Amino acid sequence: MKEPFIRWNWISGHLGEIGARTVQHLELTGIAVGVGFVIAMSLSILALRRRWTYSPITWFTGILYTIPSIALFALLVPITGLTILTAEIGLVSYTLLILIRNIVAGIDGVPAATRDAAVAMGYRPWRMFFEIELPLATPVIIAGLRIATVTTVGLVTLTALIGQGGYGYFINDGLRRFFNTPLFVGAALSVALAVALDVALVLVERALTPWRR
Amino acid sequence: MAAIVHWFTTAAHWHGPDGVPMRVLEHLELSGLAMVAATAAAIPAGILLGHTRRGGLFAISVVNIGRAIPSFAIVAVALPVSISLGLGLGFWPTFLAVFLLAVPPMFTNAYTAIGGVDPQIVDAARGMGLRERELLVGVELPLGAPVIMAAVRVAAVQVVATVPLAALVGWGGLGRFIIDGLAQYDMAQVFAGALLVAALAILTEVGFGLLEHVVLPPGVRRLSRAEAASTVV
Amino acid sequence: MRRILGIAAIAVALVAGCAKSSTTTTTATSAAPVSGPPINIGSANFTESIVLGSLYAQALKAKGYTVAEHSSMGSREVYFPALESGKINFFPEYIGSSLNFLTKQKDASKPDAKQTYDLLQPELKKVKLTALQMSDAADQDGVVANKETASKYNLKNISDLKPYASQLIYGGPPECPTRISCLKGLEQYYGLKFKSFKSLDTGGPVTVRALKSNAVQVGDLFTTDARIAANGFVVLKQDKQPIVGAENVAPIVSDSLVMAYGTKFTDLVNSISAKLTSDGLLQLNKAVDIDKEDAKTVAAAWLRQNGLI
Repeated sequence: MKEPFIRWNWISGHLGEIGARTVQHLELTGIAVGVGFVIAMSLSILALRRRWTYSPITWFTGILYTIPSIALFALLVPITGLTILTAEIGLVSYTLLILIRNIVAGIDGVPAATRDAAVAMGYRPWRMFFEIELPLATPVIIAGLRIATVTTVGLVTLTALIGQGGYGYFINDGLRRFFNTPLFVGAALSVALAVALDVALVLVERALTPWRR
Repeated sequence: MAAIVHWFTTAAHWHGPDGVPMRVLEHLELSGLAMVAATAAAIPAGILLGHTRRGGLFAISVVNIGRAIPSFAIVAVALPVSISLGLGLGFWPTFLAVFLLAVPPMFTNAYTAIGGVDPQIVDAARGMGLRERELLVGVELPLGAPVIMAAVRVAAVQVVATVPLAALVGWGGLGRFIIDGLAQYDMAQVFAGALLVAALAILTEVGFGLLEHVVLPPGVRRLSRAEAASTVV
Repeated sequence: MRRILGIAAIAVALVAGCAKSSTTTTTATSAAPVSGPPINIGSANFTESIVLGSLYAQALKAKGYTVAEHSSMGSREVYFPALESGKINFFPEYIGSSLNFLTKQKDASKPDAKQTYDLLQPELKKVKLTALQMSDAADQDGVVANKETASKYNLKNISDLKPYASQLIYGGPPECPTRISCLKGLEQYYGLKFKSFKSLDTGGPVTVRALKSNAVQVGDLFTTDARIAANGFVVLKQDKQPIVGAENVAPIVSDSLVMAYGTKFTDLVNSISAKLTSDGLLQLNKAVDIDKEDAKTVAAAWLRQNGLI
């Protein structure tokens, strides 16, 4: 009895669950990237104001990045339990390096001439940051957000191994039962979601930077 | 904490087929093989396409799509295929997963490294009478080398950090300590495994950094360390 | 391009909109609702546990209890703390493995079921848990030979392996070499010395694949695993000393749950456990693993067949 490549009736019979897992996957990704962005922004502002902190910050977040994700989740479970918190701590950690690097690079990339002109016009540091530097750094920052988001979508699949859900649940289920359909569905939807979010962020970038069109 | 130190100081953990040295070798074997294959697949192709300065959208899309594919999914999907092809359990599915992990960023960065060489320089070179091959090898490649090497370095570190997945599907490597430790609730072992992988990844980073230092011509090297770090896609 | 994106976005939204939260279910149905604390049932990340969890959950729901299912939580190391902390208060467990886990010993469980159960209760008391009545249904470690090996050497009992063990590779969970119910016991009580050991997983898909592809010739699977029969594997009999600890199914519940609901609750659960048999487990596993049906549907069918819903 050979298992067919895909059982379409499984898909049609499980649309509700597929939808629920999609929502779960989006939630886990959204929280991770959102929280990661806030933390990264704070650390970046610190690094921009006090240059000497940039190295240790990237060094630390770099170390976090090299810890294999399954290990990080495994190590957190005894501390924070089988909760969304555990998954999120791990997921957020992986977004920090790329977001910080891109935010700093983006701000640094604002032309000196523009900054000088702003100062000459009377812009104080915080106003300049939010009204001049940040908008001009948007493309590079969004580039970082895209990478962080896509990577996170992939990592969320692993959280199924610590009791969370998302598409990883289907992949795991398929692996366990030698059942191709949920395996392929989970993998394919993971990719599709990542691509969809990537495209969405490109559209956000276009919307936020009308002067580039 | 003390348990972790104890784990590392237990002689038994350093001997035999399950010992640290063996697992490190296995880990390097898979990482190394995958990197060699991925570099061979990605870099020449990226360089050549970059030289023609065409297909930019394609090159960027490759890295975006590539990043979107979760390695866990590839390992899971490749496992039954590997078995039916008689290729055994965990080695080849993980090889495929990390190969696909490494190729897209290296390809795209090779493309942007070569294609992004200042057009004025390229013009000047052509004006001086350099033929295409001389242009590529003598001008574009040295100028693009820092970004390319940075991309290889980043990819290598990611590969080393992802190979632990192999332990989920019956193979060895340092991931074995993580997965086995988890199964036996031996957190010291899990931590030891994670530490070893992180250490290996850092060594890889440093090693490639040294390689860049040695291989790159001094003038080029000076320009580009920081630039490479921020342009690597 | 934009139109395609727009359609894709709408499609994702539609599918997400169809989301019934079918991942954790929290409803009381059928009978008059029973008032009291919600029953949070967990299960481990393998088929049998998921089915058992769903089974008890649906039976309790049908009798009016408020039940929330947390299925496929992970391995014991990962879910037991949730049981101890109260995040879940009901878990279909196995008496031997939970005893080993609580005492942090690899071989605390005994081949005799009653003995193991009596050792388990006091350990559970320490963490404010209770094991309800155990079932006859048991799912324990089995020494399994794959089809080619079993027929080549005509294997029926574990001692049949003695002359050939040195040519065979054994596959099992990482802790196998140090456990009496695994390699250590096979060496000590059956004098078996295998060619080598391969660390796979705990009676899961990797072990099944390893046996199927002959990467290992003998391995550790669980006795009610439907894939044994499906692949022509042979469970070898413990003809000499029984080494494998008893693994009868017994629901572990929190003391607070028992206090809140009393004997009506425990009697109901015990009546369900009484109807479970090892063969029944095998059939349930087959339906999910081989026939690819949903655990929920399969559990419901079993409950109907046994007059429990």
